[in-house]
Amino acid sequence: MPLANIGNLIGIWIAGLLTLAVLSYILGDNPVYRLAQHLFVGIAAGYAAALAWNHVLAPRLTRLVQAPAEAWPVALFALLGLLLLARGWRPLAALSGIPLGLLMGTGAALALGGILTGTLVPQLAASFVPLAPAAYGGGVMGWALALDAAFLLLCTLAVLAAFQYHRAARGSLRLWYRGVQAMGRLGRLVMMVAFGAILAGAALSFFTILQSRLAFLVYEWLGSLAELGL
Amino acid sequence: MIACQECGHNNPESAQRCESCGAPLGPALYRECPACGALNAAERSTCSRCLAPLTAPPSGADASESASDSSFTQDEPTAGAPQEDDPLADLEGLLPPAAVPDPVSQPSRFASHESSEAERDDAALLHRIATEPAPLGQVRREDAPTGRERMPDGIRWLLYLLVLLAALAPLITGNRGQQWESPRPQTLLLAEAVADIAPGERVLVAFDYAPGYGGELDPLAERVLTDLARRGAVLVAISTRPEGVGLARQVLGRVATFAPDYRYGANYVILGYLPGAERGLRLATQDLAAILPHDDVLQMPWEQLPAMQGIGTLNDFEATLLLTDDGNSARRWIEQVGTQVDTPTYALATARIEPLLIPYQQSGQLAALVGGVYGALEYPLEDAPERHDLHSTDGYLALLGVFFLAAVLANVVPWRMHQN
Repeated sequence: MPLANIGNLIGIWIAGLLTLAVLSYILGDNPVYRLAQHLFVGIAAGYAAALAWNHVLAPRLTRLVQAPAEAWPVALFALLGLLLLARGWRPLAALSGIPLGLLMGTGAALALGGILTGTLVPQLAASFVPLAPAAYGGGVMGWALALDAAFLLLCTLAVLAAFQYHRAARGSLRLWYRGVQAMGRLGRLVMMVAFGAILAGAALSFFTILQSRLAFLVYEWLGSLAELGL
Repeated sequence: MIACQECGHNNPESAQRCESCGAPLGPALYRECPACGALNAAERSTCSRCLAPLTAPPSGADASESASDSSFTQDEPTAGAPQEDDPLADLEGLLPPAAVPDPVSQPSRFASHESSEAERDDAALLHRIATEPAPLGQVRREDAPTGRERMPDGIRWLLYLLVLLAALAPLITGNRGQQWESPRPQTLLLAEAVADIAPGERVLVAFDYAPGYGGELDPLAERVLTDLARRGAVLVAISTRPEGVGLARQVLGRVATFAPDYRYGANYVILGYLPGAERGLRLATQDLAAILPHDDVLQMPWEQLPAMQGIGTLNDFEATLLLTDDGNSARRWIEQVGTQVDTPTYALATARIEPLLIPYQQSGQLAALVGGVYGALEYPLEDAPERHDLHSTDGYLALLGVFFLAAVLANVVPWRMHQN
């Protein structure tokens, strides 16, 4: 058997045994499952650390050493990175606040800006839909699409009403608040349907992964036994 | 004897619950310092307050006796010294270290404060959350469903077996249900968009999913990327997750075998890991080389690679193909990159997050959204690479049957049990 095939075979066997080890959790927590779990966590952490060194830190530090005049900002960033480590040493712990503040500040600013311009405004704009069938070309399809748009609007308003909290109202506002409460109940129903769809999607995802692993075990792992003549 | 942590009653060693108040008797949580009387977590070897060695083993009876002998009582609180029933006494190791004030020269400003019942309840809850271990795979005794509410083990095992059989169904039936499937409009939209990409045009491919979801996303990625590769598109891979780089190597390596003369450097490039989440993505929209100076495979400045000529920012690609299993990651791409570039973004997502991304597709921020293995089954591609894990239609149908059966069992069987 060629060397490449032997390497492939060993890989298939390790993957097969680890798959069985993870699936053994169905019988409860056990040492085999724990071994697989620790291996995955350890390998993932080691891989991420090696990648961070090889692809993020090392190239930049090399550039700094080779051309310090051009790459001097890297020294500044490296210093900020080192200051993060000062958190573990009490006399200098306060200095770690500088890079942390920078990270938190830029992260929060970008996230907030992104949410406003990338989610909130476009999603609000998308909820402004025409309700007239003529806007969709008329006919049966136009009416169907207009009804769809009206349903979208109703569901959006209902979910917004579900998060409308208020004190017990008296007088003329009472009727208004009762209407909002009724809409809120519909909104909670809409949210339950949405959460149900997400849960069903998750179940479908996990089932697909299970199918994929079983197909691997049947076709590749057991298939390798046939390749070995067993 | 074991002292109850709730009422202080002394119980026999064999007792599981307090004979007086019925509270569960777990292992001792406290160890009292012989020098200063502070209560410490049982696993500590030195006192968290005065650093004296805690030699005596934790014992409920000893703890209660020595507590009664200590120099402070509840009627005469000593400044700075914890009260014997202070539920926060052993949290010092968990909270940030703080200097302990000298009890004599600096009397605590809280010394005269009498805590209300609500405050003591909150403190007891915090103590419970912070100190009680949460062992993996063990349900707390009081939280576990009891009696008739719990599904019988036999039915649970039956459901496990049925789900397993459903997953194996395509292997048994030969996946005959696939003939009933027809492509959805979104899948056809993606296929048309791929067909519109001219040879030599560059497509950015973001491998933003975990290897665990490879079983679901690999087949779909493989089909769409193979289609792009056969049409002569240049694929440039990037990932905001470290493990995505390994996936890009694996998937693009296979794609290169399905498309003739598809070579690294000339036809496809793996740029590698893009760190920094939002910051990294935003910087990449302005200066890609500043954040990823080398490619991942050859470790060359990527300006030297033929496939990367003329690329400076993420705006220089004709389209972005986002492969993702994470709603937050997808949102980051849409918010940080989608708002900065003028080119379309197509998303290939797991079924788990597909519902979360539909609003972005309906608002036009995603030009197309295709999800799950069924997306791969629907995607029209001639001479598609054969994959065993794509034969899943019968499995989904069988799973639907199992869900129906589970719903019946969950509603009818407990009812019958209650009747009995």
